[in-house]
Amino acid sequence: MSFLFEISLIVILIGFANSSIGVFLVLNDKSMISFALSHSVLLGIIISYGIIPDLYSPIFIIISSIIGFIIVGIVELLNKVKFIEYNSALGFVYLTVFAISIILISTNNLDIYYSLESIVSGQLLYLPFFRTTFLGIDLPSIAWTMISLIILNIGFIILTWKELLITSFDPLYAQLNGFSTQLITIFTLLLSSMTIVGSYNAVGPMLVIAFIITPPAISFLYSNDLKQIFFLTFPIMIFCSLIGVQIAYFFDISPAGVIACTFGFFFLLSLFFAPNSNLKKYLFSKSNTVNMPKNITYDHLDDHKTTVIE
Amino acid sequence: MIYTSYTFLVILFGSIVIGATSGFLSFFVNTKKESMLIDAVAHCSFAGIALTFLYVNNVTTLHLYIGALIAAILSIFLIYVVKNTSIITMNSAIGIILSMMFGLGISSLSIIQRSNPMNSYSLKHYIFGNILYLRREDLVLLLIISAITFIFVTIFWKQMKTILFDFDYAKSIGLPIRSIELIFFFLLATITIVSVEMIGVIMYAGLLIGPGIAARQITSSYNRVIILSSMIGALSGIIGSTLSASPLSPPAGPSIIVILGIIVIISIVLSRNGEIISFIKSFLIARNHNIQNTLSHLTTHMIMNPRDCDIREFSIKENQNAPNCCNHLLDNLHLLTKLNYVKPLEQNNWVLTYKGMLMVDELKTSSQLEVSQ
Repeated sequence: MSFLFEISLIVILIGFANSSIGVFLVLNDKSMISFALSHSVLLGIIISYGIIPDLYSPIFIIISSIIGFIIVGIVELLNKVKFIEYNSALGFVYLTVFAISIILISTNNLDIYYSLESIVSGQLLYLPFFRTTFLGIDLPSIAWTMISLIILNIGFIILTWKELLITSFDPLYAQLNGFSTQLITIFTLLLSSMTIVGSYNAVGPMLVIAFIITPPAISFLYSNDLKQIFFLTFPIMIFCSLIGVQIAYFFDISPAGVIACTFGFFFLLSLFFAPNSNLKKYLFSKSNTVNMPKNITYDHLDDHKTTVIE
Repeated sequence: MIYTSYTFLVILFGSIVIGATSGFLSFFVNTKKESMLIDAVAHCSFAGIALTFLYVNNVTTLHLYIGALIAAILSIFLIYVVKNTSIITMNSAIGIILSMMFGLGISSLSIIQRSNPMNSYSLKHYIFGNILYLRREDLVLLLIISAITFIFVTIFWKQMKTILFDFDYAKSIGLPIRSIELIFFFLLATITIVSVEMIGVIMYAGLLIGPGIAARQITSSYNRVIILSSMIGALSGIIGSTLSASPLSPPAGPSIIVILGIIVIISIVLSRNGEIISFIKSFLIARNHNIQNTLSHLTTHMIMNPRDCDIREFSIKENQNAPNCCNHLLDNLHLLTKLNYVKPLEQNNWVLTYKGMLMVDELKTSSQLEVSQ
């Protein structure tokens, strides 16, 4: 297998794992929570690297994702204090935690695998050198991690599809039926946090958001049926990330940034053509403010059809 | 001594100015619920800085500021376009545009890294911030911009408050809402871009959120909130930059944010209307209520039977039919003994102390007043 093929395989697996759970995060308007999660997970990674210095072991991923999840849970606690807006609490908590972890890394008091540079842009190009053989197949270690996370995520989504659907569209009905919407939200966020930890050294915390939010957001523009949206996400993601990898290879740029950029570019492009956006109407038709008074006048005249003006 | 050197004094002054100005603005950011948008602006300005590095020869600081400002305004424009023209929500739009612009910045950073390694080294400092980059020209620029902001807010203070708290009323009396908000946002973006060099692209939003949260916990008057939040911002700037000059030398931006976090936690714990204080208050009120209830119970008995009025000694007889009835009263009497209102004698007999007598008299007059009214 060539180097380029392995890089694109890793990117596609990361995108698959992240965007499958990201569909429900975008649907429930929790994308900023996943952004906070991706930053606060770093403290979890630092702590659990002290316990288990192996980036690919499942226990490492579970511990650090749980720590990151607990930190985001603090936001819910802060939200109960008076006079604090939810967004402010979210932004402030994740920034403080991220600041603590950056101080811990940069003062070099701890023996940590990560450097500041790898946090910002990820080290996608170094990943094919760390390999494991499983079932006789030789693949990069991160590919195995992402495959297991994909199985976990897809399994969760298939098992609780109905519950996820009801939770996102009619939480009151879910409560009447007697299952906890909170539990499903917690599991969704935990799985998302685990996926973020798994893909952390490939793409940094800022760019992992592109993998979580943007492909589902693109497919939300094209369809109104959740099943269609879910299955449309993956071809879009694969197409965009392959193009991104090719561009990065051709111009010799760091791939994570380019892929995030292609995702965003395709989103803006599909804003023009997709059925669920009004951008074309917005740009090329007369604005409502012009038509509105005219229409109102016509309506008013229509009411007075029978009245006789003396 | 490092703490008396010229460089450190410039840095200290700069961090005070940055902290105070961001604290001054943080009230508006918090009340408008725009904290995530500001975060996106700070992140997106990195793309502008990196692209300016790529395409402009002989880069000066002014070039970088202009590039960053263009990127910030473009990102806000894109976020609002996405939000207004499609079914994508505001938060998702922020995430999409933020990651796209940051990815653009990162990819142009890697191009610069390949062609010009020295420039890329200086560019990397924009991400986490380096307060050593603060020069006197930057300080002058910062002072000018913060003065403009201060003057703008003081002139339009009444109008801005109206827009913040009663948007429809502001619209109905014909205030120029759009232009005021645009100018304010432009000033906010300018301050963000000038401070980003020192605090860092990622961290700067914390300085615009934290002081507002802390100050809002302590006072409720908006004039006081603004003054206090700018003081908190300045304080965290002082402590953070002093810490980063210490031998441990943590980066300045993150240490300022961590100090701010500690201040926020302290303010939440000690706040007048906060959870912890109100819990203690409610506990005290319940206790006071118990005392007054018991004493007034006694006084009503004294008023009903005026002959017993002088008798300061009383006994509790156990009710045979309802043996648990007295327990509550006994508990309260024990509480009263602790507070020196009554003194226990032998066998369920109690006597009022001098303090208790005064209290009873007070309660009696008040209840008589109530009866007479």
